[in-house]
Amino acid sequence: MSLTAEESEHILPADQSLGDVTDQLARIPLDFPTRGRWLIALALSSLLLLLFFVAVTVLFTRGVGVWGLNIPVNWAFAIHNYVWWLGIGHAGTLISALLLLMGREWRNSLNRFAETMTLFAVVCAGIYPILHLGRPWYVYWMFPYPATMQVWPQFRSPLEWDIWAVLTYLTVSVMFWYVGLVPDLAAARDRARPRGWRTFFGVLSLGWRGSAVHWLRWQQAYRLLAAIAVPLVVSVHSEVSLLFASSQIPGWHSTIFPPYFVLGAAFSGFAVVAMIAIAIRALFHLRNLVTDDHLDILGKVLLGTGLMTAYGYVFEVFDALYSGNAHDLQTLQDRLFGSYAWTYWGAIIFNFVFLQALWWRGARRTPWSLFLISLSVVVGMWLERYMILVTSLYRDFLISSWGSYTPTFWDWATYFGTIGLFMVPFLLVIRVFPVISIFETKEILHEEQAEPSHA
Amino acid sequence: MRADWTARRGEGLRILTGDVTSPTLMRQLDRLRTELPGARVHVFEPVGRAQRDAAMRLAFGRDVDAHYRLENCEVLVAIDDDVLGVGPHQVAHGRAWAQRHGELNPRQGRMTMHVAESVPSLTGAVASRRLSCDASRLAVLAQALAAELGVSAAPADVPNESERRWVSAAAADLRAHGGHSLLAIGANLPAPVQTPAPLVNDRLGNGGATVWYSDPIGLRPAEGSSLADLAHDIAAGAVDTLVVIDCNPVYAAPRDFAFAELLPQVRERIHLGLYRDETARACRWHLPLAHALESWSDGRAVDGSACIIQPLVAPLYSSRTAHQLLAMLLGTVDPAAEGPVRQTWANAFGGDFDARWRQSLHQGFVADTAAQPISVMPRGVDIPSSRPRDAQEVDIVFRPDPSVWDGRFANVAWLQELPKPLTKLTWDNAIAVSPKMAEQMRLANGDMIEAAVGDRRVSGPAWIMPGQAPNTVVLSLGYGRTAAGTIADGLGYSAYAVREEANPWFAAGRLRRVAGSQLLATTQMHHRLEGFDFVREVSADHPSLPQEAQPQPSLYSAWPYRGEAWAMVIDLDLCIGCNACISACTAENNVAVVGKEQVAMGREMQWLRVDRYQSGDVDDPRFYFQPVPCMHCEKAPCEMGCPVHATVHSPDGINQMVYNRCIGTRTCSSYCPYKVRRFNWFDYRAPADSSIHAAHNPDVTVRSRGVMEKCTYCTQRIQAARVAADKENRRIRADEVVTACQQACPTTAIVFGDLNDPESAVLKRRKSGRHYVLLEELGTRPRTTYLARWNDEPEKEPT
Repeated sequence: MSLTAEESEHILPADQSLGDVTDQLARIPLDFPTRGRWLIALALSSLLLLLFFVAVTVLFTRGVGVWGLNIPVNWAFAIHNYVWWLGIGHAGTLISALLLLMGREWRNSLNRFAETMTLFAVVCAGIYPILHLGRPWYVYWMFPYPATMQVWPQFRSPLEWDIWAVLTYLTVSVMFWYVGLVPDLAAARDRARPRGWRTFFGVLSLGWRGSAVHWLRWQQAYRLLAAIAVPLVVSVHSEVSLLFASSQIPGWHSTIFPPYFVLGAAFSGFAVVAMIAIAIRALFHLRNLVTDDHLDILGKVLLGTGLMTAYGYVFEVFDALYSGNAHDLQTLQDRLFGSYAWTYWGAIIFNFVFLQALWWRGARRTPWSLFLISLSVVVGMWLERYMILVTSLYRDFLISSWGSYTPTFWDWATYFGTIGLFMVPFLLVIRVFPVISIFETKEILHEEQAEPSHA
Repeated sequence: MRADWTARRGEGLRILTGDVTSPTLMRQLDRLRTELPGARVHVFEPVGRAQRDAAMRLAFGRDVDAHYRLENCEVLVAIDDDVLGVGPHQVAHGRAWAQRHGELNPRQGRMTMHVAESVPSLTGAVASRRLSCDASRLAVLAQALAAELGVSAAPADVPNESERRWVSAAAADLRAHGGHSLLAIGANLPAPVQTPAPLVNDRLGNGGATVWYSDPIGLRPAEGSSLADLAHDIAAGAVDTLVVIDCNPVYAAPRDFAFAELLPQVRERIHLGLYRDETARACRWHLPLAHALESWSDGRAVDGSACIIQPLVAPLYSSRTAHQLLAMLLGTVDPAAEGPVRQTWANAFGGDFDARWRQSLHQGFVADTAAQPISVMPRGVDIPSSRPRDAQEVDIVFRPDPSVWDGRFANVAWLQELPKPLTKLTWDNAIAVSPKMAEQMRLANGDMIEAAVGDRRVSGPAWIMPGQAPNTVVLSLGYGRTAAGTIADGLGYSAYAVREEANPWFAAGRLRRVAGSQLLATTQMHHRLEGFDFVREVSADHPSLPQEAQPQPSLYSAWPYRGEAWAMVIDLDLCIGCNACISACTAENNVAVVGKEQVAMGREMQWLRVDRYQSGDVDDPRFYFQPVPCMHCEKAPCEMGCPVHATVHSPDGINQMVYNRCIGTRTCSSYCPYKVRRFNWFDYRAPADSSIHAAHNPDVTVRSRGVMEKCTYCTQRIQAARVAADKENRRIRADEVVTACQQACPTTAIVFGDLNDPESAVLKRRKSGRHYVLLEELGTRPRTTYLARWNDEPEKEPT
């Protein structure tokens, strides 16, 4: 990839002062600019959140039977959306931590909201495994607590690994996000006028004064957390893939699953980052900080992860053909031509066909085209997860147990509800916290201004 | 009322019942006729045996019952006679048939079966040579076979090529195995068409060996005692009081005489029945009948043995038995339930009453009461040639429903949810059409079609039945109830609407498509074997399957099974798909019924299913049955998937479900390659005040919402055997534990036991050359395994 060339050029316009940047970003929570549009978005999201609560109430009152599940398809929307949300929740940490460690400073304009997005996407994902339980009130049995009967969880189960993987990921992501936020909270505190805001930011900024020792400690902590977070990005989705790969079900039982899932997750995550970047940049007039160059890089990353995911597709097909196993071939045929072939071909088209436009610089740098392509990837990855779940289960080994699956109203209600569950806290966070990392943006601006331009 | 009848010597009093084999009821009816000579008893049985009785009278000149001895049969030729199918004979026939199957290979006297039928049946499904032949052609076939064996003139109508081939092969086989062969012609065919059977069997020396005759078992209605006669008398105003005993003519009467409209003309109408059904609603009095499980009664088994029925529970509601009602009609005030039955047997047993009565109750039957063979000579009967069919017409045949029979069991939810053996349909009847007809009419399953006989018509959803004769259409009885109860009302269509008195089993009619389609709930959506080897076969040339010397390697270390090692082997050569195992399992294990919508969604709860596959030509497929309970894998994928240890392995090798530990992740089911696990999607438990609780097996937990369940190998029975063995300080005996499915299986297809016991039947079967493991390549090492089916089908000749 051409990131090295990109890096040497300036990513931010040089004609802005550091103070301007602080003003511009810290002002957002304190003197919120687009109140009207934000309120509309919050209202719509709250409606979805309400739908979520209704759907969950119905679910808990009547049982998982309100969903379209059956035997053989006894996992569908819940697990499918769990994987999808978790995938989306990947890009935040990946962008922040991995690129921080690799010294890719262009990330500095994106990492804050990408991390925020990660947090709430992981929350949405994490809620599903609880919702999908037959008896959700016993979810704590999955934890090794000192039960009087001395029963422990079953540590061979990928679901058990899942609990730990997701919880660890969530914890580290929260810490990483918060530690990264501390200097900006202090900046917001310093600029806040109303007493309430000052107290709020004052408490959260943990007495940050910006001394050299503070910065030293902060750097150590932040990089350490980044170093912990990066392997987690890989482990969490590898683990999720084992939920499937550990079984013998044709279409799941494959060693390619862990990398295939991680890449797919990063792919969908970057797509959502791009969408949010474009939306925030338009909403808060941050063209000077989230520049066309940023979009260009995001486009390239999207294309790169997309092509790697496509490689996974190719190898999945190759695997089935090469194995010569009748059941694997049957599943392949069901995916390509069966009653759910629309999910397979939908995934191919939405993930990879529109993506090819990103080979052109113009498509990458035009916000609406990048937005649409990213949206298409999000849809495509959703279809892919549906495909992996349903086309494997609906026709497994014995022909007699072949079945079918149709999501019910409550399946959809729960899914759209989780979009509300994602959007509402996300909107609240961008309302009260600086959406873009102030000090990191200033840092890169300062560095770029210090060195003479190559252009 | 009684005074009134006595005064008129019973004139105008009529009693209507179904078939009667009960000695007590027969005695009471006799006494009623003696005391009230004017009273008449009418018999109406929707799925009756009138045609068979008429055929026997034609052939022998007197009333005779024919009985088969399938255990002696090396060759069975059946023309539309479903000897293994649903009905009172099924268990006896199944057990006898099994003696000629299983380990017996085709060269050691295994039964060769030639079956010609218009509608696929359980007998046809296991036949070596099956001819699918339109219903209107069966008479020709019977006559052609009789002619081939020299007992009849050649039929006027010439058999076609495939019919001719079937006839000559069947005739050759019959002749070659004289004395060990049997020709069976269906009891529902017109009487003259059935008459070649006794003649051929007599000619081949089969009489006494594979078929024997007895005096009729049960009540033979006298002349003038049919429902038609009753209808005629009502119309003539000759009936003043009608007592209907457990019989539903308003629903099931043939439509020739509009019984529902006639009934109100009777002044006093009394109905004794289990349900307030269609007939009860048309009567002035409905008297609640005690259920058989609450009753003292008696009856005769198919071989004539008398059985005394004793109650399992005291009546739950205020109800009376038919015997109590008859006793009241005879003048006893409030008779004891036991009284009439004891009196019957007091007469029969004489002085030694107490000992013999107790012994009979203990045994379940009265010793030495089986029917005795009689010697009768059949005579030749001309078979009238059948009316040539109009090219526009189709052959409509009527069949009792395999689950709800003539409709009397329609309100039993267990039976509604029991998948019908060949279609796997639940909760409905359909109009079965052949694949050819479906193609011509462009029908898919569930499309509404209308069958018309004369000016009467009935419409229902189409069901495409592979193997059904091209021009034959099947209407199943037993549905379209309007007052059966909350369960059955509104399900399906009533085939009685087009049924005629004269020929209750066959009609020439028309079929047309009507608008709409209907959801049909099946438990198996795909029926073809698609080249997979789930059901394996062996043949006389290759009597053994290749056996794996070593099980597939596993990452997990082998577990030593030092005590018992429970296992089950299911012989697919013996399975006739009768569903007895599923019913037994449902009753034993408190399996919930979920209803049509849930079954259609794929949420049926039955722990044991009988997979049914077809292979080959859709017009003449080969059928396979494969019962699939939990495989109890030694290396169970489900156990590895469960995060909370809710499914674990017992030291004796059972894959256990710990219901109260299950949190419902359903991982076990996702991982199960056999998909034998069932999930409580909702709370299926009966309401707290429901009488259903009384039907539950107290030894088996009733599962709550959100937990997984599955076959346990009847672990409660294993525990009971273990307790018994421990008390006597011994090991559990070989074959001491019998699972519910095994116990119910009429053909001994299912064998269960301890692999560590060298004497166990299950170990013997495991050593058979026909032994195989379902999906062995997955390395799950199941404890439930199979024996391959024999394939003795002749090579298909090119057509």
